[in-house]
Amino acid sequence: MDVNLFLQSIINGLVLASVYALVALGLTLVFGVLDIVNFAQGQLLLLGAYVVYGLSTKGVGYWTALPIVLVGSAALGYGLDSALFARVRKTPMNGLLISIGLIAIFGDVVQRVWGPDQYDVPQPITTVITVGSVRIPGARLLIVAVTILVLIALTVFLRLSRPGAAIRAVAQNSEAAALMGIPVERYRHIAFAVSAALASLGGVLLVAVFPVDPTLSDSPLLKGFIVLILGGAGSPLGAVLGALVLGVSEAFGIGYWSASGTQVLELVLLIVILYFRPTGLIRTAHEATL
Amino acid sequence: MTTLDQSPPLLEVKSVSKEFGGIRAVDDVSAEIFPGELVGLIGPNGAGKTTLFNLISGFAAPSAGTIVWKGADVSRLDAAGRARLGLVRTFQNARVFPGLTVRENLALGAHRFQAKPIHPEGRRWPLRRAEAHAAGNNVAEALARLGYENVAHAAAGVLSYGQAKRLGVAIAVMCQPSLLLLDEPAAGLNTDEVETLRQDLSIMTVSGITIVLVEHHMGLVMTACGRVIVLDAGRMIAEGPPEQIANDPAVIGAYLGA
Amino acid sequence: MTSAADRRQAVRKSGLVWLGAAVVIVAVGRSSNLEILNVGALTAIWALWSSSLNVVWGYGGDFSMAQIGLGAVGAYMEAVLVTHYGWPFWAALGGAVGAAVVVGFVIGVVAARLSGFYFSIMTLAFGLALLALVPTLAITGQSTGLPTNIAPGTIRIGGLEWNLASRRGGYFLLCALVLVVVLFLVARLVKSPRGRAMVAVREDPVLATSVAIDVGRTRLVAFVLGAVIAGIAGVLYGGYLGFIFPSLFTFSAIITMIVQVVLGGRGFLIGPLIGAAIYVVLTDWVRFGGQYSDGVFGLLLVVIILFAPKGLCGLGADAIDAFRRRREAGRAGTSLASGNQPGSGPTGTGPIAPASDDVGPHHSVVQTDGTR
Repeated sequence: MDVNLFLQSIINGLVLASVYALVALGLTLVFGVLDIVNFAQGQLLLLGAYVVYGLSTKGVGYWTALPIVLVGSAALGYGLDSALFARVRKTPMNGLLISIGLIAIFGDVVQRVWGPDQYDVPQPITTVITVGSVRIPGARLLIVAVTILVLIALTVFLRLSRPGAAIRAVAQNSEAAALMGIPVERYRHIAFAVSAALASLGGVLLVAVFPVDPTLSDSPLLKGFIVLILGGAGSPLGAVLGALVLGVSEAFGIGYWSASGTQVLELVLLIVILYFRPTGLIRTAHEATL
Repeated sequence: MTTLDQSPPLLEVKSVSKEFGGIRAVDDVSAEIFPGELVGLIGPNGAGKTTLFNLISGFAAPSAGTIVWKGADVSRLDAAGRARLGLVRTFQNARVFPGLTVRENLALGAHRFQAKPIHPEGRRWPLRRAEAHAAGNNVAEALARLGYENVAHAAAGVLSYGQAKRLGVAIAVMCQPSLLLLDEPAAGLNTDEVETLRQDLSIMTVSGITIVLVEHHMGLVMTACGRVIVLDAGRMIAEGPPEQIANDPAVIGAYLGA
Repeated sequence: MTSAADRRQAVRKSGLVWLGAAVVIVAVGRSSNLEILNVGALTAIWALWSSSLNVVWGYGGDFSMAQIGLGAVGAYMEAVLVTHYGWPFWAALGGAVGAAVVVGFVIGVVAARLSGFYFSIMTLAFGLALLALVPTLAITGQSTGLPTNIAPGTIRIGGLEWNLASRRGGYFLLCALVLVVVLFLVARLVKSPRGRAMVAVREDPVLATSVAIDVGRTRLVAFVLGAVIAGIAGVLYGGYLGFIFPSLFTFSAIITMIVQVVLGGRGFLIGPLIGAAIYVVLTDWVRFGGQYSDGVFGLLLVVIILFAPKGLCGLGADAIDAFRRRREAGRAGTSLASGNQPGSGPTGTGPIAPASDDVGPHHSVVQTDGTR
C-alpha cells in the first residue's frame, strides 16, 4: 500500500470533515433551536469565501479578513432571522422556503459582484511539513486545527456560558424557557447568527486550500445535510462525528476509487440512513439534543 | 363480566399492557364490550384512558396482550384497517380538517362508502349517479341532523370549539362505526352543548352504535352510561353499574389521591 | 345546500371554462407570432411540470424535491427510445411515462415512511442521485447529451392542420392541449373521494387515519401521479429544446419550480400555470433581471412567503371570499332576523362565505398555511 496516498487521504479527509462539521453544526443548531432547515447555509459559506477573496484584492490579509467575515456573517445571520425567519415561526415549512429563496438571492449577488470565474486567494500559510516522504501542506493542518479550536469554543459556549445555556433551554422547550424569563426570540436570533458565522468560517477555511468559484458551496451544503442526517438532526456531537465519518471515507473513496462514484454512493448512504434510522445513526434516543 | 347479554362481545381487550420507557401506562387491562352498550371509561388524569383508546383503535401497539374484534385478533391490523372494520375513535381536542368545508369533513368520514364524488362536477357518469346521490343524501342528512346546513360551506377551521368538537364526533359517525370510542367529547363544552351531546349519545345508541366514553364529566357518565370501567395508574380498579361505581371505596380513593 | 339546479349549473359552468380554454389555445395556435408561440409552449411545459409538484405538495402535503429528477427520467427515456431505438414519438412517450412511474413508485415507497422535512431531504437525495446517475450512462450521451428528435405527427381541428413538432404553432398546441387534459383530470381527481382523501391527509394525517383513509397508500398514489405528470413534462421539455444535456436538470431548476408553485398558489389547480406564465414571460420574453433573474425570483419567493404565503391564487380566493361575505352580510341584515339557533354561524358574526370549492373549478381547495 502506498503510504503517501494513505496519509494524504487521511489529511484530506480531516479537511473535508472540518468543513462539513462546521456547515452541519450550523444546520443542526438552527434546526434544534428554530425548527428550520436552512438550505441557504451553503450560500453563507460561499459568501464568506468570496468576501475573503474580495478583501484580499483590496490588500486586506487573510488573518484580518477572518474576524471581519465572522462578525459580518454573524450580523447577517442575526438580521436574516429577525427580519425574515422570525415572521414565519409558526410554519417551519415557510422558513425552509425562505431559505430556498435566499439560495437564489445570494447566488446571484455573488455572480453579480464577482462573476463566474475562479480565483485564488493568497495562501495564509505556505509552509509544507515533510514527514519522511510525505508532504503535508500547512494550510490543511490549519483548517483542521482551527476547526478543532472552534468546536471546543462552541462546546464551552453552549455548555458553560449563560447565553449558551439559554440557547439550549430554548431548543429543548421554548415555552418553558419563555416562562422562566428567557428572551426566546433574541436567543433564536443569536443561534442563527452563530450558525451563519460557522458556515462562513467554513468558507474562509476552504479558500485557504481551494480556489474560489460559484460551485464551491454545492458540495458542502449537500454533505452538510448528509452529516446532519447521519448524526441525527439537532445533535452537535452527532454532527461532528458524522462529519468525521463522511469526510474521511469520502477522501478515501476519491483517492482510491472515483469522485462521481463516491458522490452517488454518498447519496445512496443518505437514502439508506433516512430509510432505516431517520433520527440518525449516532444520536441515541436518550441523548439530549443540544 | 356483569352483563348478561347473550350475544358475543363486540370487543375483547385481553391482558393488554403498554410501556413507555419503563413506565406502564396501561397495565394488564382486560375488558369486554357488548353490542348496544354505552360504557363509561373513567379515571384520574394520567390513568391511561387515552393510551388504552390508542391501543384499541390501533394508533399504538400494545407491549403485551391482544385486541379481539368480533372474534378475530386485530392486534396486528393498522388503525385505518380497524376503522374500516367499524372500530372508530375520536380525539380529545376538536379535531377536524380545518381547511376543508364542514360538508367535506362529513363526506370524508363517509368517503369509503362513496363510489363517486361529493361534488356536482363529478356526477356526470350515469352508472354511478345513484350511489353518489345516496352518499350526497347521507351528508345532507347529517348536516340537517346537526343543524349545520348554514355552515355547510364554511371552512371547518372557523367553527367554534363546541361546534368543531361536535363535528369531530359526526365525522366518526359518518364512518358507520359498530363501536365508537369517544375521547372526552364533553371537555370544554358549555352546559347547553353538554346537553346536546347527551341527546347525540342517545340517538347514536338507539341507531345501533356501541359506545365507549372516556369522560371527566361525571354527571354525564353517571346518567348516560349503563356500565362504568375505572382505570387508575394503568390498572383497572373497578367495573360495574354507575351507582355501584359511585360508592366504590377504591374509586373514591383513586380520585381523592389516597 | 346546493340544489340539483345549482349543481347542473356548476357542471355547465365548469364545462364552459374548459371549452373556453381549448378555444383560446387553438386560437393562439393559429398565431404567426413565433415569440408568443414559444413563450406559450414553454409556459405550458413549466405549468405541467410545476403541476406535478402541486399534486404532491399542494394537494398531498408532501414537499417533494424529486420532480426535476423525475422529469429528467422522462426526457432522457424519450430521447433514448427515439434516437437510439427508433421508437415512434407516442410509444416513446408511453415508455418515458412508464419509466417515470417505476422510478416514482420506488421513491414513493421509500419516502412515504417519512414526513415533513425528512421526506423533502429524502426526495432531494433521490432527485440528485438521478441527476448524477443519468449522465454516467453511455446511452444518454453523458455530459454532451443527446437529441430528442421529437415527431408527434399532425393534428387536424376543423379545416386546420398542424404539424405538432413545428415551431409554427404545432408544438405549442401539443403542449397546451396536454396541459389542459392533465389539469382537467387533476380537477376531477381532487373532487373525487380519493382526491379528497389526499387533501385530508395533508390537513391531518392522524384524523384521516381514524376515518379509515390509508395514509401511506394515499401519499404513494399522489407521488406516483406527480411522477406521471413530471415524466410527461420532461418529454415535452426535451422536445421543446430539441437537445437535452445534464446541466438542464439542476438544483436551480428545482428552485425555479418551487418559485412557480408558491407564486401561483399551492393547492390551487391553476396556481402552477399562473406561476409558470409569470416566470416564463419575465425571464424568456421580457428578460427581466437579465442574467440575474434567479435572484429576482428568489426575492419574489421570499416576499410571497412573507406577505402572501397562499400565492396569487390565494390572494384572489381571499378577495372573492371577502366580497361574498360582505354581500351576504348585507343580505343577512334583512333576512336573518330569526336569532341564534344552534349552529347558525360559527362565530356569531353572520354567515360564513361559501368555501372556495364551489366558486369555480379553479379554486378547488381552501389552502392553509400549514402545508407540511
